[in-house]
Amino acid sequence: MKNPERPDPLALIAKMAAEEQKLSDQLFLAPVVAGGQVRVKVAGIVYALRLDDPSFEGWALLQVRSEKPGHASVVGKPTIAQISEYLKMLPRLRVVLLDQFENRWWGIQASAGDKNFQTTGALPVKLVTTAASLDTVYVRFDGAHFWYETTDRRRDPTVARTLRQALHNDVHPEELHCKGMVPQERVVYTMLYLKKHPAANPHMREKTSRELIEEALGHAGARLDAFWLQNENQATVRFERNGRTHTANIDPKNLTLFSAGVCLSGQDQKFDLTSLVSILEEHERKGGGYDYEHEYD
Amino acid sequence: MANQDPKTLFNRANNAAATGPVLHVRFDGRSRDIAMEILDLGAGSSDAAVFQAVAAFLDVNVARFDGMVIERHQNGNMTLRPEAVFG
Repeated sequence: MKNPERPDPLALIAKMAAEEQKLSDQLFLAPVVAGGQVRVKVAGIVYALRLDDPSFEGWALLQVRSEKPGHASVVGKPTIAQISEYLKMLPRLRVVLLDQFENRWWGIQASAGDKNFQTTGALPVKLVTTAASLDTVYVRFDGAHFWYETTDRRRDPTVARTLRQALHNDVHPEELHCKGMVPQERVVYTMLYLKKHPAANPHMREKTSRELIEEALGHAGARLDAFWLQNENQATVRFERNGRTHTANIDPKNLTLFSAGVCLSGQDQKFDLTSLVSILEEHERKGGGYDYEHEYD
Repeated sequence: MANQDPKTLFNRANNAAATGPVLHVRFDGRSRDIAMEILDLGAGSSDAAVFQAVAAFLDVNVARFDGMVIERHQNGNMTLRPEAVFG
């Protein structure tokens, strides 16, 4: 007996077959990347189709080949209006373009405050045209790929031009000044600088041991009082936090703890100097008592 | 060159460009500072959000942060580190 709540499997198969038949009769539009498949969603079902020409890349009008199941042929080029209609169905985000890597464009999200998208790091952008490094562009996301749409015409183009010229002139990222530049553009500029100068340090110079230690302590609100290099592999650091002095032994190269000056069950080397300041905060909150004036011989 | 891929460049550039609050991560015996702005994190972000963002940034499963703690500092910075066992 048929259950009215449950769909009839035979009817479902017949419906899918009919939809597939309809698909083979229709032209459809899709972005295509070289060697890739095209996915088409019909009546809620996603069909993966392979193109006859695997080297084709771009926007295409396609038709399913009824005599060769699972394959499609490029039968035409869509108009700009058709591409625009397609892209409008997808959510949009702004990206600062980086450069091409192995013939693929990459960029980073232009606004960290976008509530609809939260991407981290570089993302690949497909089918980029008429745009250059450091341009801010709109891309559309279909759930798997970011497709280039257009440049952001509201963004002042002189910023990207100024940054490209600075890159051409090899201006170091720390000496870079550009009115109107946003933090993400600075990050992209630094990435391009490092791509152009692989051996370059993004900092103007190597930081001294003192600077590294001061920075590590300052991260969590502590202040360096003094430090002594015992040898090239070991240093003793004395620092002040909340009016109390603490001493620890570290590796000066990577600031890993040798001995924390507070008992960490022999796990000292799991931590670094910044972690130690944070551990002392936790220890205080828990009412822990130990000798803050601990000194090493 | 191996360090010329977009992800590595992003990490190197990000460390250089950090100017706002910074998240210090001590994980797997390595230390790194990540600008919280790049991770889209702020002082009000939950611990779960911080773990998720760092896992995505480092491309590791968030479960690997089990046993890690987040310490929030008065200056707006944060530290993500292994839990300390006092004794």
